[in-house]
Amino acid sequence: MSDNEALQNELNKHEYAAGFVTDIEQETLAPGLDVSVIRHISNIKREPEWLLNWRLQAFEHWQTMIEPHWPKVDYPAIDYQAISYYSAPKDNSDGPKTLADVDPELLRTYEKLGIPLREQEMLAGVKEIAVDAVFDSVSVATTFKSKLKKAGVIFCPFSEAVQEYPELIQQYLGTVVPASDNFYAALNAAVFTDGSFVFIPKGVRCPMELSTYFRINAANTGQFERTLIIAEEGATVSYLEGCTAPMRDENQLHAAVVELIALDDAYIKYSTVQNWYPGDENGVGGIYNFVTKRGECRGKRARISWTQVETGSAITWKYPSCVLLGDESVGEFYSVAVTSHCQQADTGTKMIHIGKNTRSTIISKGISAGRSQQSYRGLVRIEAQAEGARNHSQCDSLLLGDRCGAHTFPYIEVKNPTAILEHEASTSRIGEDQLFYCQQRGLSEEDATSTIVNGFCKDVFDVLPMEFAVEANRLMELSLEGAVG
Amino acid sequence: MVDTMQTWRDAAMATFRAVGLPHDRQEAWKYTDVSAIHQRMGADWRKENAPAAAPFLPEFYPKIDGLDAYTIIFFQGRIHVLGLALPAGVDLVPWSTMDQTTACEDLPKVQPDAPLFHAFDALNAGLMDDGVCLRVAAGVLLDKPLYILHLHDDTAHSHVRHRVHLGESSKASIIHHDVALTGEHARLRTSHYHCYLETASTLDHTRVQEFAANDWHFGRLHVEQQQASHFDAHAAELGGEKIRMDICVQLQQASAYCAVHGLFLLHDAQHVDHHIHINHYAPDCSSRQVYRSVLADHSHGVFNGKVHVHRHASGTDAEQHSDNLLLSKNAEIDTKPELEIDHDNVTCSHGATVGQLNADHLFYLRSRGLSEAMSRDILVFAFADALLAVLPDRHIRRYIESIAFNKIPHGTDLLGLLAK
Repeated sequence: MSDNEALQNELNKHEYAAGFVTDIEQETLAPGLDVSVIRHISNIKREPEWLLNWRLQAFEHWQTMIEPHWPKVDYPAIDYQAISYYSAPKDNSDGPKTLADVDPELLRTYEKLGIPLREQEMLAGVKEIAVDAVFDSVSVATTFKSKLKKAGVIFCPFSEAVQEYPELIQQYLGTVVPASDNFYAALNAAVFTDGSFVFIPKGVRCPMELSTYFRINAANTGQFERTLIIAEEGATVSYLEGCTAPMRDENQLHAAVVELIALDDAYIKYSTVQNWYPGDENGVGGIYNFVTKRGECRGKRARISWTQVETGSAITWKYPSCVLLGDESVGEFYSVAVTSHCQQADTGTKMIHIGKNTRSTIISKGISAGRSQQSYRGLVRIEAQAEGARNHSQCDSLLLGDRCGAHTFPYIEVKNPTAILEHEASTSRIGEDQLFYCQQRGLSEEDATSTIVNGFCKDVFDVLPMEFAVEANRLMELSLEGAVG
Repeated sequence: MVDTMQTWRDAAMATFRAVGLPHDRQEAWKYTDVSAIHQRMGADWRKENAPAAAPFLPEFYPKIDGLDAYTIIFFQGRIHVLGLALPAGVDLVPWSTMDQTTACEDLPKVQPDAPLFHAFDALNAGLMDDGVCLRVAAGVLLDKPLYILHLHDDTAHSHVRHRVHLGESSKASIIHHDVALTGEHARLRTSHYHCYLETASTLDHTRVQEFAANDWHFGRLHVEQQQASHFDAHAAELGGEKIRMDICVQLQQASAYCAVHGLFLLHDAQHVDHHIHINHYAPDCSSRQVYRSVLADHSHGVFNGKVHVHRHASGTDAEQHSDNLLLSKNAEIDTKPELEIDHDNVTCSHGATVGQLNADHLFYLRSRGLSEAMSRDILVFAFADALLAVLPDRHIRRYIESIAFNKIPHGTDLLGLLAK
């Protein structure tokens, strides 16, 4: 058996642990998308008139747009009329008041996924994390709300925020990613169902990590959530996002929008562990992950940091970006993306320098195995008024196996002579000398590979929040199990 | 009798019309806007030039001091001086002196499927004024460079199309020099090179571009390489208003090597765009792309270098470098070193930098008593000169250096310093 077959067989053994289906009664809208569906969603959410109008305008605009074909991914055309745009566990239309109201079946689901929803069950000594659990189209539970409220932090489902803090939503919604921004963002604006809302008032350091856990459960549905995080002057928050879905033979669409706003001296750290179902080894099934994530450093010295570990999804299309408007603001992007089997990922970042003395750092590590295709697509733009801008980008790719692809498309646009920027990229496989060195020190081939891969990703893992570092390491091991050349 | 050449031209023009002008919604034309072409080039830029009048060659044109080469001269795209004593095995024939059937067979085809193909290449074929077909027989080494001087004035547009075929283990060096003698009226220039390198042959291709400040140029360099062949390209972009070069190298057999070098020295509102596409189809090939640009005033530089490593190209070694110096608030650089890799046994890297002069270097020179302006000029010159140092011919290097010196304020002083 050749090395490649051995590798493939090993990879086939890798089970997607989060692939189960929760058997729960759900209320799902019939597939299809038209104005009545949008009105219906808005009605369920009891939204104010302006928000409904905003959705309808987005929908109108979306109908004039065409799907982007420039990413280096290949998939059959999506029938947007065959998707159901709303699905929620029954009796949840008002949203659960306390954890006791939550269906025990749902709690068991999150337990199985290792997501702590019962506050009292938090182990002593473990750092507290507030969790917002989003199940298909709705948020089913949010923990530690009262404790956060004491600190002045608002952390709640998006639909709740629309009721409770409409003025904040109206002020900030769509100001970073406008409803007409791109095809998927427009679709999201028209049909988004839930998501998380975070507001950190002036001078507050959020007392604990905030986390949203997205779960797609129902079949034939799409998930369209919207997250909005606002950090006022001097505020600090670390936000984690995780996602899983059942194993299904059909593809499901996930088109989310994330908007971050950082005012003077604010710091938002947004970390993602993306583990949507990637499809099986033949590329059947899996999630289409078409996400628009963008942060604006509106204030002076504001800082936004994107950290991501991407192992899931059949197709990924996502470019978390920073718009550096404020003087001396900072944007960061740290990413490890792993693709195996038939996964396709076209991902990267955008750093738009507008303010003076702005800085950005891009560290992107891509690992492709099996028959997967992975592209880094990044943009660094220094506008004419951005005096003293500084950027450093590094994107490295590691290829495991001779049937995968790794591609790099870095766009660098500079209009100011005081800018200093460097871009480096390399693509290679694991060196035989490196493997030999580790093996002659007594490591097995598999351990040697894993050590080298870990070292390759170290720059990114080092900046992951503690809670995620462990999970990320485990996910990497699972994804690349047996991926020894 | 059917006019074969006319049929050939008509087919090319049909392709030109079918493909349509490039526009900024196309990825490869994102940074280069040609929509003003009708306005800048006048109504007749798509029309063929009138048949050549009596041979006429301007009396004065720049000469490269000390250059010892086989020289042929084109004026307005038409060959004027030939009658070279070329070594045996070297065959140089202009299309205009061939019979039409042979010419149509040998002329570089219009290949709409080739990477980076665009309408202007079809236009070049359709409106071609002239060009040469150079064949070097197996084992023949051309002892001196072939210097092809293209002189232009502003009375007409010009289009040249050349073909180069190197036999096994042969070697040649070509210097393509574009010079505009007058430049009051904006003119369209296009050029096309099709180079075929057989096993173990070596080709050096140097292009020095001094178009007039109003000229637009669309050029294409298409290279196909067989086993262990060696190709070096150098370009010095000095003049013109809007310049676009597409360089496509096909490494078709094992162990071939190519290196593409480019130097942009731009000022005013000059716009230079180089798109490079290197295809690695076979094992153990190497490719290099080394670009440097110095951008002053409102100038705009674009570098898009792509390396595509195909499935069977194991042992590929590819590097890309793009270093850029912005000297003015209004200058712009857009650089995109792309990698597309479908094989794991590769070593590919790219680097891009944008920056200003190093403060330490400036301090060093100033501490030696040089004025700040002079120190800057020396550093700018040194930055550019790194690419001139690798030119195969030292006379060309001196020639470009002297132009570069004239472009910077204290250049002539510097030249004096260096001469000592």
